[in-house]
Amino acid sequence: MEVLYMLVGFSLLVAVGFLMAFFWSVKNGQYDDKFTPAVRILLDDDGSKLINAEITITDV
Amino acid sequence: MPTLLQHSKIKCTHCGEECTSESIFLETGEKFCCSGCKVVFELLRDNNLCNYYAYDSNAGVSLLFKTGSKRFEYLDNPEISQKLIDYSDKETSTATFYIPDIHCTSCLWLLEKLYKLNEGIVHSQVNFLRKEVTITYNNKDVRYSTIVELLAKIGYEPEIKLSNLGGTIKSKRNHDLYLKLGLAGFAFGNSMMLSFPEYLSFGLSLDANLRWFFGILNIVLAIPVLVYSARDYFINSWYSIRERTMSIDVPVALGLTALFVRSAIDILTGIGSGFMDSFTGLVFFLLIGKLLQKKTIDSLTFDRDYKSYFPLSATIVRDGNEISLGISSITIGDTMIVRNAEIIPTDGILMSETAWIDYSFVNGESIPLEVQSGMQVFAGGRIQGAAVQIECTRECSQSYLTRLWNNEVFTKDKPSTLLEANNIFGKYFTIATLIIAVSAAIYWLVINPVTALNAFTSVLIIACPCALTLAAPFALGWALTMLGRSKFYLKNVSVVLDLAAIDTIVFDKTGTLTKAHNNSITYTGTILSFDEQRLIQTCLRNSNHPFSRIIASEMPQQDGLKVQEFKEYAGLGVEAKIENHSIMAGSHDFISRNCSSIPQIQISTTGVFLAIDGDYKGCYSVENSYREGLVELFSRLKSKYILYLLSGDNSRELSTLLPFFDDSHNMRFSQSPEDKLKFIKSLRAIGKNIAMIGDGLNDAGALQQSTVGIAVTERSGSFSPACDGVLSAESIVLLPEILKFAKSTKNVIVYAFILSLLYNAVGLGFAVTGMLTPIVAAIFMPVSSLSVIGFTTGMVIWNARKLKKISL
Repeated sequence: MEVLYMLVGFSLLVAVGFLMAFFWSVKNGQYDDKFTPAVRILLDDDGSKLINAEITITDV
Repeated sequence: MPTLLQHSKIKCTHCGEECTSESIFLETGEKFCCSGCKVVFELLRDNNLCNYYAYDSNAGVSLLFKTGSKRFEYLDNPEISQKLIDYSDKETSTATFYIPDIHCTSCLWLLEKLYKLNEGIVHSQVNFLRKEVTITYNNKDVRYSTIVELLAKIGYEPEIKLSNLGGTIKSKRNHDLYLKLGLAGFAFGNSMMLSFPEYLSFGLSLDANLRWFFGILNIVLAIPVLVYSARDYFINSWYSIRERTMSIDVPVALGLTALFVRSAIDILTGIGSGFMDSFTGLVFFLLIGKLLQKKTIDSLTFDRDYKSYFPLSATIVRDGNEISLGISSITIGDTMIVRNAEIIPTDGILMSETAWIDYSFVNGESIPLEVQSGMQVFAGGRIQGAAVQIECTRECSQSYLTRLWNNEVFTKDKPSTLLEANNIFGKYFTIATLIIAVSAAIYWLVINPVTALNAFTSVLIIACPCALTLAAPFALGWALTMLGRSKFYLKNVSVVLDLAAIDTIVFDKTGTLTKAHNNSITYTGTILSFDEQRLIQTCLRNSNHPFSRIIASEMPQQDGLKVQEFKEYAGLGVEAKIENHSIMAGSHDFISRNCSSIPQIQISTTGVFLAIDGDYKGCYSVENSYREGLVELFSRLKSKYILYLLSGDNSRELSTLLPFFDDSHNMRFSQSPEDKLKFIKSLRAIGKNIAMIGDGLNDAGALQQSTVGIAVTERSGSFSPACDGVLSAESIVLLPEILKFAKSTKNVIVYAFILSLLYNAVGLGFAVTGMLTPIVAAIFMPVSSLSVIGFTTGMVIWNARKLKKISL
């Protein structure tokens, strides 16, 4: 049964780690805007692709 | 370009507005409704930002109605900019801008690509729901005003208002509650795991050391919950006791204390394993309820006053130079220049010859007023047409409009119905709990003194009105969400209870019952041929009169003709020579003086009379167009509520509106903002619960004075005065359902109260007999809480089904 002391202790330690991660994420403002990041991820980083394609056509 | 004469709609590449004959066409095939749109397009094209149009076609913000040549230099005044910038160090500054025009994915994309347009901008990030963009920039290369200019140039002019300068604290986001909730949830989960072995051992005794170890860990987990997560309950009860009221927080705090103290004693003395899992669980549930109750809508503000309506600065002429000056620094005698679509910042006297002023937002008068040189103009009016000069006669804070805010209703907060109910309930509940607890203790002292303390604390624990405190937040929180789906947004949950009590509804007319920007035009007279229409349209287009412009824009769009001569008579009308025809348009007097055979029809004050080559043709009249579905709305409201109309407008629409209100005594016209306020006050004095439905600044006093002030708005970004709820114009027909839903929500709360009181009675049975064991508490408390949560949530969503069906 003695192994339980260690087991419970370590499991609590892990849980505290996740609690800290949660605290950090809240203070970091990750819950402030729950909408925009979901849209932003769908946008391409580089906006020049479409335009480049057009330019090559006119060059030809 | 004969193809343009076709009536097919050509849309502006940039903004999607319909193109008119004044449109601009590029050789590459793009079409623009105005030069502003073209400039933005070219700017984006030159910077490889044309993907803007790929995410949403015609994504742009129309620049057609925006005023040009805005000046922003005043923003660089250190006194002003200091208040507008969030954070600044030696190299970079960060500022947040509120941009009402943010509406689609393309906006998001472009506003986060600002660094491509100006190298001094380091980073920009959009918060879509709040319609905000936070920009970090290099403050050596770029000034604050440059950024505002850039934003305005691409059609996203930020709204910088006087209220930003009032030193208002930036709304601090609710981090605290999340942290408290996270901590309580963490402690609850772990505590339950540690308590399980005890519950599940069923008589098999746990190893004594292990039991003690678990007990101590439970205490360690519960302490931060007690001092941090549950802190507010103790603080609030302390305040409420000091003010000699008993809020519902008092029995909660009592229960929490009893739970913690008794558990700690049980564990430390080895009597039992304590109730720490119930304690942490209780706090966790309570905080979830609180989170629901605190729910606010990010994109709306409910406490706007005139300061958010007025611009930040005005253009002043001093020593022949035009300078931008903060509104509060304008002094009596200054000459201001106010351009088309700008708001007059202070009361003054018109210096220019003539001006058209739209006062609809100030006094509800829907028709623009013509003002002649030397006449008074009032703050809040919107200039239409050419720029005018105005000499200031009163300072901004003393103007006709802003004086309304000196009324006492604006200085005190409305009492919260929920808080009042909680206080009354809390008082009786606390007293009853204490009486039962003490009698149980006395009873056991006589029979078996060992059980006395046990019974006393058990009563306090079980009587802790957990399920009860959850009922209202959950029911009201869900009600708020459901109403939000029908585009009715409330300031806070307490307003739902106020809505349930409404017996009288007062309507404003302009902007509330009528559409804000839409006028219907009717033509009476001889039928105009195609060519005649074209002549008249060309003539009217050149006029500055607001009606002429409305009529010209409502006629089928055609190419303009060449104007040979054009003359405008202030206050009378216009005369033009087009293709050798003489065209006259203007007031009844103007036309009748210049041509014969004008029939004596009813002289509409709002008509534009027309004559071609001296022959009277007919008259266009402009009327307010009412919102759809009003007939049905009023016929349903009439049977249950007393209805009133308060309009700042004159009584010309009385006959149209009479069927809605039945009795002309219930309709009041030409009401000043103060009159409206006083009328609501008199109704409240005789015990009426009033819902005031209005839209403009002129309703601000009435909205504040009524039980529930509801502001109607057509666009979510547009200005609405301080109120308790914002109702989208299209949902105004849902009013009967909304009020019914509020009533049903109140009933749900009452049922949930009865349910949880039943739980308390059963629990008290355990408690007074001294039989409350940890396992009973561990099962009983979550079951009662969860069932109350389930009941309220389910009932409110069920009741909202009607609401949803109609709005779809």
